[in-house]
Amino acid sequence: MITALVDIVFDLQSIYDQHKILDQKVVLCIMYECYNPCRLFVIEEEVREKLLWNLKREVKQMMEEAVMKKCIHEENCIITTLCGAVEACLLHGLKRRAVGLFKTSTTMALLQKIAKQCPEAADVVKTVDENDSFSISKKLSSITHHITSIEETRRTLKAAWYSRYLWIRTALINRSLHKIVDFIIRNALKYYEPYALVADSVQGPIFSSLLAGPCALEFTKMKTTDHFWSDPPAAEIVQRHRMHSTRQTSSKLSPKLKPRLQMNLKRHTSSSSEETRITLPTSNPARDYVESLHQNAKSQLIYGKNNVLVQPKEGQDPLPGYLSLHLTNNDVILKWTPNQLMNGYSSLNGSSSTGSEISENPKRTRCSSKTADVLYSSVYWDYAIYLNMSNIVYLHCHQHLDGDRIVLVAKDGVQHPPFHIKDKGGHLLAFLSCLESGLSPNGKLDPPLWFEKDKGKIFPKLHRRNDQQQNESQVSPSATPSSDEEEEIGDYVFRIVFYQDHNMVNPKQWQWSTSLSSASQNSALPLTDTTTSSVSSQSGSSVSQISPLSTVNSPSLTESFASSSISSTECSSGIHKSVSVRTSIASLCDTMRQQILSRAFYGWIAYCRHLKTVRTHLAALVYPGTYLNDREQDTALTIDAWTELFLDRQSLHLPIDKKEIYRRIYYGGCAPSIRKQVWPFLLMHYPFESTIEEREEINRTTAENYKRLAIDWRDAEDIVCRLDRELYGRKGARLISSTLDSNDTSIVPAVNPELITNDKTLLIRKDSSFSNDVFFEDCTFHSIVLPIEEESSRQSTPLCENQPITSNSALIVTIRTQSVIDRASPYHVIETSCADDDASEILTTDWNLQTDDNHQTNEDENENNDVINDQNKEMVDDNAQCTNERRFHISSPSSSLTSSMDVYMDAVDILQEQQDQKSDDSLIPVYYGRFTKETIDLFSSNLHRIDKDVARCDRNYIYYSNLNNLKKLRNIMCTYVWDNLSIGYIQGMCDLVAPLLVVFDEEVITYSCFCYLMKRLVPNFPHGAGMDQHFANMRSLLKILDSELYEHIHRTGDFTHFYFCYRWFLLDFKREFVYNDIFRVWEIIASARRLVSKRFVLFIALSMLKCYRDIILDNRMDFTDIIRFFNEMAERHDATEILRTARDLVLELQKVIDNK
Amino acid sequence: MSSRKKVLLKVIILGDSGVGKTSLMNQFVNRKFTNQYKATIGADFLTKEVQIDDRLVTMQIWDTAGQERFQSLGVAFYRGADCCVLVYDVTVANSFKALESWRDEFLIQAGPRDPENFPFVVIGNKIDLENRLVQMRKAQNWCTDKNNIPYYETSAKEGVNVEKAFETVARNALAREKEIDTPDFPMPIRIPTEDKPKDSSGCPC
Repeated sequence: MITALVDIVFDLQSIYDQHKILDQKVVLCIMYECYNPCRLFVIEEEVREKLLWNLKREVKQMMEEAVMKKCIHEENCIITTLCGAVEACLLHGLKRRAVGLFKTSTTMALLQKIAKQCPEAADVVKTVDENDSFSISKKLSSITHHITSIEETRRTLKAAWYSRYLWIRTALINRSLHKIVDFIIRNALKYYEPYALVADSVQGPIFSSLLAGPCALEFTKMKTTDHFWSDPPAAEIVQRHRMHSTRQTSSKLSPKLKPRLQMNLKRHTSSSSEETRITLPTSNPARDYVESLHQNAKSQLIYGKNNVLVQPKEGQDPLPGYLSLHLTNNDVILKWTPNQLMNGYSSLNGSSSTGSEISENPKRTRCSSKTADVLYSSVYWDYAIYLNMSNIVYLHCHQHLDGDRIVLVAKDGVQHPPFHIKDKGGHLLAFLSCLESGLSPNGKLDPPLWFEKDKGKIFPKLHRRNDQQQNESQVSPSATPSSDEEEEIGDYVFRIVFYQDHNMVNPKQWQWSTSLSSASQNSALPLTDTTTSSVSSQSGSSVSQISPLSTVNSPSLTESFASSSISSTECSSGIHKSVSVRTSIASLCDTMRQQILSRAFYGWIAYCRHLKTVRTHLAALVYPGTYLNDREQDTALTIDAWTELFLDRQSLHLPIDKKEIYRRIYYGGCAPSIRKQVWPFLLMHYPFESTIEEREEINRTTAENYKRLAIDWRDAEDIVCRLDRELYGRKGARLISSTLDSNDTSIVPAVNPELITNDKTLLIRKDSSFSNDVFFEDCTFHSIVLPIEEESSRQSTPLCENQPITSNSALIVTIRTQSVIDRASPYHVIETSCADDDASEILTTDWNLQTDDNHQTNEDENENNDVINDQNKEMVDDNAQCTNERRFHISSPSSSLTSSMDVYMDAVDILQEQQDQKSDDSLIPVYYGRFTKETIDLFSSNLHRIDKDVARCDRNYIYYSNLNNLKKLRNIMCTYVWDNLSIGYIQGMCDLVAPLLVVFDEEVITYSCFCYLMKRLVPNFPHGAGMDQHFANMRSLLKILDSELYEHIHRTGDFTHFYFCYRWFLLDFKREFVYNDIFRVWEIIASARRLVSKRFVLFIALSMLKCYRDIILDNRMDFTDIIRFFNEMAERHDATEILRTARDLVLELQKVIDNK
Repeated sequence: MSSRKKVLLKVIILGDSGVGKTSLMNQFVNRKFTNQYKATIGADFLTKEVQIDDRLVTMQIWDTAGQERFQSLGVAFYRGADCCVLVYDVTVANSFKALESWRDEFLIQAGPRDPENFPFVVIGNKIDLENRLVQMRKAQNWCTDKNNIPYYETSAKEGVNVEKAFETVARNALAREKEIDTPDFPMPIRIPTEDKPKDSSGCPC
């Protein structure tokens, strides 16, 4: 059913394929145009077509999705875009007063109007009214003015976006949309202007029939438990991002991006206070957040406790919430989420049922009737706490009658509001033991919890001895006045120690802290229980009124807060401890001094490191002080410019302004038509200073060199072929002899040419049956051997004349088949004029059996061999084609072959002729000609690799669908590898040759340019150091230019975190862009090398990251996500934008380097 | 907050270049086959959710470059693998011979716990081609020798057996995960153990 629908859609597609692509924006423009009647008549026809085309595209996309996934989720963005397209179609030509004198012409109004006559429409109207979404969206839009928080605006806007096409969406899901549209079309004259799409006699029905497909689909609301984990495809991520970011950021795009690129020293040195309020992710934040509280692939839930009270703000009641500990990569994260966010607003705002839906799913605010809830939820988001335990130094525990309190003090002294666990029953201990185990590999609690045989973990006991025995110390037993239960009540301070911190911590500070703890018996430091309890119900201590929140709000003062609160409490509560108070104040001052000093020190260190990075790593990346004036940025190197700057000056023997040429290419690229002329200069084949004669000389020597190498490797190739034949042929012979009648094996008759031809055609046919699939290209020639044997053995019974085939002749057959399959061999028949000369010298003596056909072709070839000439090649081709056609006529007149296959078959046939000649010497002894065995072995393995990769190189690109061009590619590749046999062929090299060959369409110069290109790129290939350098540079660059993204990548990845750049650097971005863009990228890299930076690729890579940085951050992509994202985005990037950003980044780095 | 642990299975596909690793992955995940694949550079992966008995698992299938030279690069991706798929081309004898070294190399580089029992699956691909060179019995024997590795013959082009092979991949990876994880799964959660009987009464969850 669904596939049938898709077929319909595809049919329609083919009808309309001639129309131009237009995007959503254009549709919006068109919609705008629709309201502007005076301009309408000019474009109406075009508009109709565009509208329909757009709709068709959306429908097609949805049907494809449906086929793939069986059902479509209701929240899939495809639905929204389809609805948009339908809406645009329906709005086209809608009469202004169609739906009533005072009503505005919306499609919803139209729907309400027709609801009286159309039952489907009535249903939809009813459903929509029930949802009451319109009132909501209106309310929402009215309150957006009052909401300042961007987050909030974004969410409301999203809701508005969602509800905009609500009726269309509802109708689609009710599967009645096409009926409604049908009804509208039937009654079009009533509501629409005559030029409207809907009123059109042809396009109207097409419109409604297009919708029939989507209306037959299954839509599902169901979410599997794992729904959120299934990753959306990259395209969807980008689209989502665009949908919700364009509205809010388009106006201030540049200012938004700018500050983020500044170096962010502050964040480096201290960031704990910033972390208390997380900025929630943009894409469906609430859901993601709640989701993140669960155990998931990235983090492990190690502790969870509900109804933990926190007083978020002074003067507010403590809120209950969910306290949880999560173990991510190496960090322990503490989260506290107000219950309101966890379960809706049931406890506070009374709007119990609807609220919950909002909090879980803010996108769907339409369902709620209380707009106030939206406001509230944002407040709660602010209350949510997110702490990385690595930033926490002290953990104060207070055990009260009314429950336990935990106060966390961050490294920078910020004290977080106390978590109050009201419930009895050892929760505090449980929390601590979980925390301890969570910290365990890298950190610990100091003092550690004790372990007792029967009870498991218990609080350290030392303080009790301390209380009893060490009364003279500063801590007195009276500190816990209300200790009813000896065991349970007590206050503790734990220090969180990270092992790697030991190296960093200022030794003095460390000393101090140990001395302090030694003062309290190297163990827990008991405090008065009143110390930091914000809700001082029973203690009566006035000092404890200090609200924790005030400390959070003024981080600058809080440095000493944790300690000062201790001291002040002690002052007030225990006069009798004046001595101890004095010492503790003194030590506190010490601490403060130490902390201030150490912070200043670390700040300075960080700054120095930053400078060092800039100086040592980055300074070399750009050429200093070569700011390019941005004045003429847009001027590309056009034909005129090239003529003026180069050709004219050269003819007048004037010096050439290389820099200006480079500059133009750097900014605007090079006109496609002159690439062939310019690139040899860019890629260093010619120096700019050279005269025409010098260039001819260069060409001549290069060509000679190329020819020489080609002769060599072709000789080697022949030997390789022979050896392979030997190897597999012998095996084949043995197998055949065993399958055939044993009597026959001894007979060695003359090979009957007719018989062979017969067999051959048979094989060709067999080939032709699978030659248009992928695998034939990947077959290496030996792979064909066995089946042929089977074939011949099978044939032996029905075809009597096949019986006398001996091992020898059968072998020949198999060898011929090899060549049919092998795409390697055909090439040298056609192209290898010079090589063949050489080859034939060796081989002619061995040729003793040749069919007439072979003779002919051979003669042709010999004639042609003298010159490398395209024409000759064609001649051979033509000749072969004739033969080919003839043969096909004989063998299989009915075989329907596509034209592209004919090309292939040409090669096959010629090859066969050739192989016929060669095959006869297949059993001569192994020899390596003038090469060593090692060389041949090495080349042999490389040759097979090359053949595999050439065959699948860019076969979807039109240039390489021509077999001749693939042959050229192979020749270049073989020549290079032959010349650099120690490097050998490495996958990816083909990709690098391919664009060059497309530009030059000529072997010699492509080869030369490729050699120059490889000089730069070879270190990037495996076992070279180039890639590691690139990664290291990327790391430093990103650190300086976008520290936020750097931190993110660093946090979520391991040491391989720049791995997603691997292919970029290896292939100079060849796989990331479409062909036209590759040319631009490559010429810009080449010109940038002379102008601004030797390693411009780094800046392109950085710019790629920057273009998607928000997506990466918003979706919190980790290492694997980023790899997948960029792999999927390959060939979809906006090259212009990326190159522009890359140039900006160069400028920016130049400024950073110069500034200091 | 009882959420069943999400199961993510990391699967690595290895084998000589051109044996059809990318095709297999795409056939399994997208049920598509095109003849437009290029040689894989670097690494790519696709994810697919499959249901194994009553469990939904997400398979993260990593496709790697086939040239041995890139193997040093693959190391970064091998780590943490739950299963390894070794692919050869039934029409290329050498690709079968290479299985041994792919397997050994993987075990060295990935360093899995209990390498003897690490789940491998061997796939002989391209059985749609007629010029088969490696006989099924030979491959089967090899697999039996190597601690009974499951063996499948597939055609990524025609989608023959691909689903089945990957189901085995998921099943074996899952079985191993259960085996290994059961002992240390409760380790991180130390709260509700026997020493805290009060918890059950005190917690109003």
